[in-house]
Amino acid sequence: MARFDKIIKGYFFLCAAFSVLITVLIVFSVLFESVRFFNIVPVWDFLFGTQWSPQTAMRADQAGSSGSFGAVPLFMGTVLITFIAMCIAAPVGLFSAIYLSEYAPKKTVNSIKPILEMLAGVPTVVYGYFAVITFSPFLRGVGDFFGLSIASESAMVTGIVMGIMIIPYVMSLSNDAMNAVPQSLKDASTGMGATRSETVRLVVIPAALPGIISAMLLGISRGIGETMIVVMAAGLAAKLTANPFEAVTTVTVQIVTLLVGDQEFDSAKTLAAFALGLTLFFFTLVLNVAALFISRKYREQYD
Amino acid sequence: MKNKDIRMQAKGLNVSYGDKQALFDVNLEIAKNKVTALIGPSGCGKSTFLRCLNRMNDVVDSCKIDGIVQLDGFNIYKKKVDVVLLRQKIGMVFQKPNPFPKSIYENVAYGPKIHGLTNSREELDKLVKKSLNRAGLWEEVKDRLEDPGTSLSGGQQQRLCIARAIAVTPEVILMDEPCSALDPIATKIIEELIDDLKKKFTIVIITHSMQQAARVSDYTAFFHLGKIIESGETKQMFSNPRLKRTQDYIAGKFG
Amino acid sequence: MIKRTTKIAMKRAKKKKNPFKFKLGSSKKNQVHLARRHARERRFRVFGFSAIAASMIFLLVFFASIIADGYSAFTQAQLRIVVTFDQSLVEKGNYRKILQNSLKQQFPEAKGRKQRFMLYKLVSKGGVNSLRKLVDNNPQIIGETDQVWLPASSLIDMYVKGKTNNEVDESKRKIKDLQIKWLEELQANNSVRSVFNTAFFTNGDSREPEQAGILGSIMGSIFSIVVCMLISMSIGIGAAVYLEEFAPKNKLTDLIEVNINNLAAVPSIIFGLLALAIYLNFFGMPRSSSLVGGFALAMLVLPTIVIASRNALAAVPPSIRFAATALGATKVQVTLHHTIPYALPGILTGTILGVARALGETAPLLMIGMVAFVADVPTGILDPATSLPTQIYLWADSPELGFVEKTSACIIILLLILGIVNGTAAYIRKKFQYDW
Repeated sequence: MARFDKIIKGYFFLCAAFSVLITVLIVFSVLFESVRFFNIVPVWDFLFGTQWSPQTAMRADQAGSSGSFGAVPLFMGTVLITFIAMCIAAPVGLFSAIYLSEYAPKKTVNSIKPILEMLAGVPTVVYGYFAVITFSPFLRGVGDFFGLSIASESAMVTGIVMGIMIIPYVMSLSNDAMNAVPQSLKDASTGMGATRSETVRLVVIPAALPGIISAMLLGISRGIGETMIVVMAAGLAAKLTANPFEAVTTVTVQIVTLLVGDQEFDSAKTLAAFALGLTLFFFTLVLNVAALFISRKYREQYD
Repeated sequence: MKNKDIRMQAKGLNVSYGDKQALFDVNLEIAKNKVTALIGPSGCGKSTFLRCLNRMNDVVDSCKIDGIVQLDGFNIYKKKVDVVLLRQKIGMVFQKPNPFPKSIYENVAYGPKIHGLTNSREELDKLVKKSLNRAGLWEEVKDRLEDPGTSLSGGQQQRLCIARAIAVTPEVILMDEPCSALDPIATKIIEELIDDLKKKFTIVIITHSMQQAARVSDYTAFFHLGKIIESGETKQMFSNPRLKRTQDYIAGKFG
Repeated sequence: MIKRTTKIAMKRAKKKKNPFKFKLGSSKKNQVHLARRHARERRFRVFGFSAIAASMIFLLVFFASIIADGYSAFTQAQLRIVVTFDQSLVEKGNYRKILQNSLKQQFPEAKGRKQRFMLYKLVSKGGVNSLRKLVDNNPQIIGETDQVWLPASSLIDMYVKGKTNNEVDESKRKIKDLQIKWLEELQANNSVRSVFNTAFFTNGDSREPEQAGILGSIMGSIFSIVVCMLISMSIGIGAAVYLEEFAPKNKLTDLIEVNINNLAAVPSIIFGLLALAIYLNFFGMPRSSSLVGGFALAMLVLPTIVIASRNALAAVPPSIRFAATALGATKVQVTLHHTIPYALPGILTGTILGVARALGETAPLLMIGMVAFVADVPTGILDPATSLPTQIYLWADSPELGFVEKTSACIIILLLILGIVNGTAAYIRKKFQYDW
């Protein structure tokens, strides 16, 4: 009996350990290939170079055979698109959460929330398709009307659609944070004669701020790591631009372009994808862990 | 009670939450500059009644209120009544001390700020000092106004909440078992404070302690199962209740 | 804006005598202040409502546009052609020639190579297979002449569905005037009909839009999901049980917890890189196979399952565990006999939600090559395959007009499946969850 218990317990432990193994495997596999890449291209050139043209030539003696791997345009593109996305997702998500937690009657909340959560269940490839087929032509039409020329693959289109994708995450996490603010605090404010919006602005939001910040950080992390929407809608042009109506490319887009299709595993081109993956993993890790600790601290405060 | 001594009055008040009726035809007069105590076993509707007096029940979706509650002869449930102004006139102190997670100063300044009661920082400082003074807290906190309100002891927190409530110069203060979360010493301080406050404010207080009701209140209303069983002067009710049920409750035979 | 609303509020206030309107703020300054506060309150409320409304409207536009684009893919135009089953050609197996000859006979005015080529383009290339099947099932037809309904080419299909732009100059469009004329002739004879598009559900991928189907990608999705579920459930539930029931409270447990929470937010493409480096390059597993896809997805949904299962386990009240322990059960017995069974509905719900996520996931599958053109329907987990989302990605990239409706239709199917899966999760939660 005791042996059986030990075996079962051991199995459970191995399962838990496996989850750590996944992280270790991620770090090692990505790091290993990245180190090989940095042997060919110096870290410095990768992180601060402004030229991205990974197309290596057919023959080694051809000019420019090494390609150039300055990732700054990709970082800029990622930041630009994520910024646009958060400009949509942060206010809409936050105000939706406020409306749901403080204004809407319970019945309405119970019917609206699942519908909004459907947005979170839609696969991102579908968002990408929507961006390309419906939203991009629409926005270009609007642009033409105002005499603006918008590229068919623009940061704007991608960012807005990505923002819509992030809304439910921001909404649901900040809603949780606001619902965790004790009713007694809201009552105290209402009892003083504060209007609902004053209670929200002066009491609820300050008290829920850590939760809201962590929701925003997770939203940003999701935006940075999002792949399908940008692959389908953002394009491949590694341009260093802050113009949201131009096409830009992102880290994830380049990972996909470098790795999809035939590949030899030793060229700088394929290895570059892993270096990009490492960068991506690092930045999202920082954001996720920061969000995790902020919201944890906050939970302790009200326990 | 003479008409001019009445500050608030409930007439034929019926309240229900969904299908469950919480108050049945409640009639009560609340005297000006006196302390009225609401007593009764838990779930008897006294808290519901108190929350009707400044329309805090409006926040609850399922709550339905029928009847009249008057403040100085004016029905506060009339359609066009501005609840914001109403609640400024009728303040509230809750069962558990609930200071905002802000500084002591900001807690007291919250009401005057949202209502725009002061014109300058000096005026606001003065008002905060006056309110804290009146709540008997000034001497204890004057050197640490910037500390968070939550850093105070339970009794001090409750007095902070009282200071917060009186900073907007209400006419009536509603207190929902303000001492139930406090130790005897803190309770005594609050009781003395209540005695002092009634010079300026009309106070309605819910309490579970018969002794407290006897000590602090001028009038008492006894609630049971959503109805007022008996109400009148506290002295008379505690010494010589008209009904057997009141006597039993006061004597602690049920509760 | 503020000034106007203030004025309106003050006007309203003057009309009615109401002490709670402005009595306290009888000074003009206070009246203005209060009116402003109410205006701000209204604005705030409008913002909140608009935010919700915006999401709702988007959802509506989104579904409407997908359905509007995609519903037509469920039908397919067919043309009735008089076919002569020439014996010698049947024996040679040259059904293409049979079809071409029949078309030539029906439209003798098609002169020259170019026009004849246009003529052949009326009927789908799949029509050849239809003829072959017809002969196989019904050999006495050889040598006869019969009217046969054949699938129209995508070009004609699109025209019949009204998806082509016929206003532009002939040189700028794919469908030519001559073809339209022939089609109108057929329509006059009642020789054009629209039928339910079975090929869409029974075929694998194809270069020809009218022959492309989703069966291959559906099978790929099923295979990889089964692999994913087997792995992620057995490991995920075990990990959750360990963390919730057995783990001592120490730094290591804390680290595992942070790690799992972080994994849940790692971009999915990273899991693709991992699968590529480990499974394909290190272990040399077959590229594009559902097996590797399932492995990648399993790691992706593992944290989701662990977190959901832990919540379900934590919801089982300690008193149940005490009761069993007091009867002399060991910790493992308590867990296996009581805690896990009671938490099972919650665990299942979490797992199904994880599966729903895996079903819609695309990026990691791109990395391991489940995005190649695969015409054959996969029959096992080692066959090269695509999945529904990668099929959407592939078709969305195809330039042919016919693939637009196919992509949208594929999205409709995927969303339907996700709806059913999520609905099942909600049903289980409602029906079986214990209310402690």
